[in-house]
Amino acid sequence: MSKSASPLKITSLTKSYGSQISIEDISLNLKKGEVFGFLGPNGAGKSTTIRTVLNFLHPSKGSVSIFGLDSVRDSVRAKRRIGYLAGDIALYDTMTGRKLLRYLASLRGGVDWEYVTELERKLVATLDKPIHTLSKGNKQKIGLIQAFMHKPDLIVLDEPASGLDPLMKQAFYDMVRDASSNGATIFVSSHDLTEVQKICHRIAFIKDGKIVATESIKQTDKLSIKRYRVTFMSQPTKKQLKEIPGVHDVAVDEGHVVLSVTGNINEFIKGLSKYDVTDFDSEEVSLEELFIHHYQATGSKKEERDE
Amino acid sequence: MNKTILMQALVSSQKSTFFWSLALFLITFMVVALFDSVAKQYADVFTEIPAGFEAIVGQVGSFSTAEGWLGVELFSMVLPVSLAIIGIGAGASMIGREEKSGTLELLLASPVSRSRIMLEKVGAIAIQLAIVSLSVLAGVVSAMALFPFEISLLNVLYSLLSGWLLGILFAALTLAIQSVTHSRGVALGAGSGVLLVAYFANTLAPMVKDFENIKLVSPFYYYEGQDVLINGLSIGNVMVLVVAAVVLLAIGLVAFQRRDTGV
Repeated sequence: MSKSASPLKITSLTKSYGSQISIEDISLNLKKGEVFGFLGPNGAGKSTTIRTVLNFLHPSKGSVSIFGLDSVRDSVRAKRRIGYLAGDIALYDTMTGRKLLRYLASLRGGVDWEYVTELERKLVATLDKPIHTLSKGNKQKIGLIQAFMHKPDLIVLDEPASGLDPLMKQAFYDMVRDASSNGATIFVSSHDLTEVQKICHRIAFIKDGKIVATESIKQTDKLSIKRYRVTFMSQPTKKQLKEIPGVHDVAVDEGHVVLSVTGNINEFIKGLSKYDVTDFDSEEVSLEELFIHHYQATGSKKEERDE
Repeated sequence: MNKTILMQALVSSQKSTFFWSLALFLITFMVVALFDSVAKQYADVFTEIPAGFEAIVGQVGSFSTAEGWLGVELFSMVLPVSLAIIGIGAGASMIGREEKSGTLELLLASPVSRSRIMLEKVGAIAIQLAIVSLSVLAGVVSAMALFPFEISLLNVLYSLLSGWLLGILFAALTLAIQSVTHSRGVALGAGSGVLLVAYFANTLAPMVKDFENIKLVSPFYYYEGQDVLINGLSIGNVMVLVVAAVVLLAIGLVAFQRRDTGV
């Protein structure tokens, strides 16, 4: 197909089951060589979108094209150029990793076995034991190898780092970066903003089956909310706490406060240090909250336009 | 086109193929070996047989001949039901097991069409059933070398061909059910149900006057292995089995190509 065709173009994709709409009017257009993040809370429709791209599910409306090939009509040809990994991917448990890779390789007409050995070494993968005896991390390594071994032009990853330890996550990020610098396009879904910010050039946000926004990585910095639980020697008033730079929300609890902070951390620390702090801890902020905080403004703007 | 999926399917079912083949080989060997000593005794005893008994077990009156003996002891029930059971399990599990475990996605993410996946796996089932069927032939041949038994090996082969087609028909049935329902469990259950009904539709039901023709919808009627042993192959019957299997396979194929997987 033409060299200029988009690696992945999703046009007005809708998937419904009877009256239940799982994803609606999804449109994305990936650029060659970019790492594109697909971010959303659990149940938002990320997996449904990916499984429709791979033609496990058929579109109800709309279409998906991969390097100009239709995902349904030209499914087999498109898959020659795709590598796929799901975080919870199932492997043939009774096979050894090597046997599974050979099996999948022969379905592709063979792969460069030296490259497989290189990946095996890089990931320190265990390929000669039956897969059912391996830990989740070791299984995932085999999953990664099968997704990358044929040097695909488009790599589709569905929550690939879920359940991995930090060391494995880093190895995975390195593989993504290497593949991208070699010209591959990568489409990765996740519910972890920090992870996506580490490896992606652009991100699309999906919530309740719809794309909420598509932004470049730099723009997502303003999305970051940090939450801190602080205990003071003598607790300041709510008004005083809100005056600390970056604090946009204060929750007072028994003996401590929870501060939601955006923007420059250094300014916040300087402002906080005016008070005597006895304990300081950080808390996770859910993706839902990030969405609501950032896109509430967008939502209300839309309502104005509709009137 | 390499037959990777077919080979892998054969490898993963090798234990089952081995044990069924061994079991049928031994049963066949034993049946043939016992003919000379046992059959003649039976023939004297069974002069008046209740019609019901005969309907289930087979035409015992023909015990005294090699074809009759082998027909009643093996080809009336044990063989066709064994092959049907293998077919039911294999057809339901073919896509069903991989879909349930999730490994189907590994195949679907590869550059292979859904029809190729299905056809190669059906090929593996056909080969598996053939191996099991031929183990019966091996049993007959090896026992014949050691014990008095004379039979047309061609008719044995024809009878096994009918049995093989019956097994494939049941496999096509359960694969079609799994394709449509997405469920291996439903396919196994429904397939077993059809097996029971079909077997009795051909044996017991015709004894009731009004249900005489019910046997015509039973695959066992067109299999009629006992009859083939004596009279040779009926092309008409074979064609019915083949056409039915092809139709069910086509339904299964189209349903699998059209539907969502993993839901």
